[in-house]
Amino acid sequence: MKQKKIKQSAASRVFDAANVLLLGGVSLICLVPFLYVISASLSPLSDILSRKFFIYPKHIDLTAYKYLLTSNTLLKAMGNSVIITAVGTFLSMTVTVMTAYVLSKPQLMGRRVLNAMVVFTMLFSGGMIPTYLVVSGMKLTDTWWSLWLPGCVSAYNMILIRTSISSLPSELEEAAVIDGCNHFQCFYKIVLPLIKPTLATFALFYAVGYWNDYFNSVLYINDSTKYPIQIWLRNIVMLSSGGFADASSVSDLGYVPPQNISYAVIVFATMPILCMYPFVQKFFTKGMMVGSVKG
Amino acid sequence: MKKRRLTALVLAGTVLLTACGGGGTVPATEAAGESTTAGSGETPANQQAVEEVFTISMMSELFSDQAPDLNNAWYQEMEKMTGVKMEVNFVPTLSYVDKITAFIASQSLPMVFAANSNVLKNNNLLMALDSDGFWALDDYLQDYPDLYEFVGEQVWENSKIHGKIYGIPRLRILPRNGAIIRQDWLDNLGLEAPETFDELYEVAKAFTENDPDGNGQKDTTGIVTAYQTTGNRGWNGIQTLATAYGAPNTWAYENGTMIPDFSTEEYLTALKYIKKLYDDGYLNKDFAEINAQNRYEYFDKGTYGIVFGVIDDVIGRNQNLPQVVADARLAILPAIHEDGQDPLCNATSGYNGIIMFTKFGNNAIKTEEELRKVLAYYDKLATPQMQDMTTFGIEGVHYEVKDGVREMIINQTANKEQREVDLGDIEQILMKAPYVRRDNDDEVRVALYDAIEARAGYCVSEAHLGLQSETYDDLSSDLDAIMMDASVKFILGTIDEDGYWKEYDNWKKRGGDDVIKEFTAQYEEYKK
Amino acid sequence: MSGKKKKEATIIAGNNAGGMTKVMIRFRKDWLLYLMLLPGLLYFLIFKYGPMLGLITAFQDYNAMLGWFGSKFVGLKHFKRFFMDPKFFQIFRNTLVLAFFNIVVYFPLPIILALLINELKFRKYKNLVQSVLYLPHFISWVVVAGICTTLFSAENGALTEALGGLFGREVRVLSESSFFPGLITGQVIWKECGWGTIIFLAALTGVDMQLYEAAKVDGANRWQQMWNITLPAIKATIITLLILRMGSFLNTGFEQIFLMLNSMNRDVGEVFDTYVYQTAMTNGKISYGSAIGLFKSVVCLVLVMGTNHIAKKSGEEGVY
Repeated sequence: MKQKKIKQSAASRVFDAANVLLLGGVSLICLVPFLYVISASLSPLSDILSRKFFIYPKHIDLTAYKYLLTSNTLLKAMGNSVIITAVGTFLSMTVTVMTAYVLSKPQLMGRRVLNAMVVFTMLFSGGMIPTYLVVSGMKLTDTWWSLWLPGCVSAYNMILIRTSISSLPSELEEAAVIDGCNHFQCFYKIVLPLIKPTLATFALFYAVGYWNDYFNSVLYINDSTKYPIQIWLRNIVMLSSGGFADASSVSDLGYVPPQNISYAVIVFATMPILCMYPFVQKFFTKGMMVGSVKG
Repeated sequence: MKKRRLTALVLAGTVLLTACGGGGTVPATEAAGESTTAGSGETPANQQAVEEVFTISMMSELFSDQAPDLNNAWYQEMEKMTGVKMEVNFVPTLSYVDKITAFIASQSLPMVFAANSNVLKNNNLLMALDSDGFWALDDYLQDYPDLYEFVGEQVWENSKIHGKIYGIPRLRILPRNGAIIRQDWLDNLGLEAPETFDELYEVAKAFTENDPDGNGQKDTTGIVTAYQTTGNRGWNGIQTLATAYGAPNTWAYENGTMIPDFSTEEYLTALKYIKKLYDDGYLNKDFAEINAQNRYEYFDKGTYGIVFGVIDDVIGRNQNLPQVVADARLAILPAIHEDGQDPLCNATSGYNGIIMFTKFGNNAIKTEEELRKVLAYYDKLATPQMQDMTTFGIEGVHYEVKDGVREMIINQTANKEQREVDLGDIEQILMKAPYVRRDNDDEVRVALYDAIEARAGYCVSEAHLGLQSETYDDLSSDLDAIMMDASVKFILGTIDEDGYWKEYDNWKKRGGDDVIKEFTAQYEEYKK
Repeated sequence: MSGKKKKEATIIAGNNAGGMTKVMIRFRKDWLLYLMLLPGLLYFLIFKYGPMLGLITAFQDYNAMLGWFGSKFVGLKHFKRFFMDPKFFQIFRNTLVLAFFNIVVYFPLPIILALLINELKFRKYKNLVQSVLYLPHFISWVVVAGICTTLFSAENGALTEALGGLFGREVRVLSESSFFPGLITGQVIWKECGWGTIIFLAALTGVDMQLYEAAKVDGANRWQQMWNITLPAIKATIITLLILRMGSFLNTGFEQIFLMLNSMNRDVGEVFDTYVYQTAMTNGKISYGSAIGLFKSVVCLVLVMGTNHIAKKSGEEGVY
């Protein structure tokens, strides 16, 4: 067929323009507080206290970042967080996606019951103490396994991945089976490549979850050299906001970090995960399914 | 073919990974120095072959931003001086209570741990206490006079739980509630520091209307405070002013019954006073919406003249405010009193949290003999020599003596040194005086200590300390909220005086009557 | 009589034996599938169902030191206390109001936003917008509360004056009860809307571009294209998310609300989560908290089962 250049209607163009403006405005609203935090981390303390700046710093002061980058504790914690997140995400994705694949297969026996059991766990939970007892009973406390195992599979994530697998046309797998693939090969060679955007999305979700975890880390880890960065982040932010007047005797509460340090720590601890998103976006390419099913 | 084997291997590996939890630490980490896992303090003596070093496993809150180094010079010196090795597990404050709960459930509390006020309210701890989970110290204290004297009889009494002493109180200064005022503004306007209610009103007025910062703009307000959270009533000003009018400090025992402060006329007088300040514009309009941190942020910006809080916060404000207003000077507001009367100050309980001794679980203090060893350690800490060590540290490492004057040499802005000499966190689990004057204290600190000592004579204490009310334990947040909200609404003008007393009736109906009954009964049993 | 019964019995036995063999056959055929299921299954059993036994604390006076076996059994005592609390209806009502706002106002927004982003023509702009929109998700509720104070405070709020002009009277967003649901929902929208688009955008990548071409040739306008091509592509995701949302229907998020509560809006602000926090969490009354949690879970279970059933009846795939 001849490639006709189809003209856009006026209404369509108006819509496009309005859309660009609207989304631009929304983007600004989302961006501004972040610019404030970044500017604050680069500003001297006096500017922060007097709120002299808004979205860009009036004076640049790098003491906060210097403090962080010479702190062995914080650098180590950052390294810990990276390892915890990387291993955790890999582990979680492996188990979750595999389980999602299996649970999407109609020929699975007891499929409905198994799926219902998964949903059930989203509603009912024993709570902090029973989980703690299970983890400590398995002697996992004070190791990073206590962060990886109890949160290995998120039922929520798994169900959504399962939905996405189910929406793949069944002809693809049937063709593969005819070609002699077993279940695992089907999973690995056919299904996985087709759900790349989904995989990227949930890998991101898991990564964010592991990176941001605070509570489990405090609960299960005793050795402070194994702490992820979120623990120090919260401590610093709490300290610099003077949150605990009744804790101290009059004299020393050790060193109270000034507020510009607390902003720098926020940037320090959030940036890595924020930088992940552009890489994830690479997987969001359109038209992956084009031509895969003929006829 | 190769791929098949590889994938099978991956599969098997995954199964293994998830199936076997197998302990052991992840290879990439190396514990700095000794691993400080809680409860790894396998108790008794005979750790070293040569010397008998008694190891005490401890747990306390972490307030700093550094990983504590338990092998630095100070800890080693302490071990030499006392013959006791401290194995401390520092837990970040924000989740301290949850960790204690988890340890109670898994029977792995260390021998000694710090129980802050939140922990002491925790039902799990209290139930464990009632189930004989912790050592009661009443019968042993007479053998440790240094320890006993250091804390003082009054504070021992205050810290009793269910009628017994269950730990060593961590001392805090008594008259903490107060306010901080901009001395430079007073100077600019030629005013004296206010001492009576009338004077305070005039000063607040002047601060608002007479341009105390001299910039030609009407951008200042007299007083800033925050009433958003019920927990802050101690230092948002209401209690300070109410007690100054003669109301009880939270609870008082009069005429055969316990009365709460908000049920008295004096308290309402204080509310009326604050209402006048608010109506006339000398108090920040959003006091009901902002929280404690916000009000310090406002004050640090330099547009407010007086802030209610704890008087030791003057040090923090003194760090921040001069960054914004270079010649700002701060002073502690004098204890306000009515014309011709003596000042009246709120006394806190004198302690914040107690150091408790575990009796149950894998890492407990198992025998009386062990308990005595631990108490002997704390007794030793109460001596002047050890106090000097825990407060000032080691000469040459923490401080230097120049011309007979001690100067601290901790570098506040360098992390590495911080890690080596930090004393800040360990003091939460050791004996420490509420405040210690140092040779190199600045003007503000000296003024602070002077104020503390001056007020000692005017302290009004809370009558319900050491007493328990079950109804209050169950309903505290509700009951507190009812009267807090009533106070706020009265100040805002949403309800009038009748409306206030109606809320008091609500409070009584909701459970307040029972609380009064229970506290009264307890008071008569334990304190009369 | 007995002979007939015997025959029936044999047939049944035969069917059962056939049933068993059927299972064995299916298992042998798909053994790899079941092996692949093993890690996940173990996970759920050990770390989800194991601790679930702890729900018994809802019926005990749980004493952490003595454990479950040492704690006293008290039956429905905590439930009774909860239902008889004079605040119960108020809390329930408040929670329902916020939940309602959340589902009706917030839930469609990420979808709409995703669709709008999808319509953007310039690739670079699209990527930029996507990258920026999810930033608020990383900001903690404490900071969000701080921002709201800065904007709406009665004293110096940046927007307070403007709002006053709009409404013709002094407006105190942070104190007035009527603003509370809007304030909370507004915060959620700002913080989570962008992040919520990610799932939909991922689903939209699976749409065949040729469908749009064909539709344009057939004369469909933008709206019709969206309605007939784009929307159906994410229909399954929307429905799944809606059903799952029912599972957390009574969860309002504790931290966010607690930060915004004050004396004036307490009557509409107290929800289950803040109530549990104040009566159970802060003083460690595990049993009471457990009982309330159990109640919430049962209600949500009913909601999930209901919506799932409706979905399946409409021909969609449910969550189980």
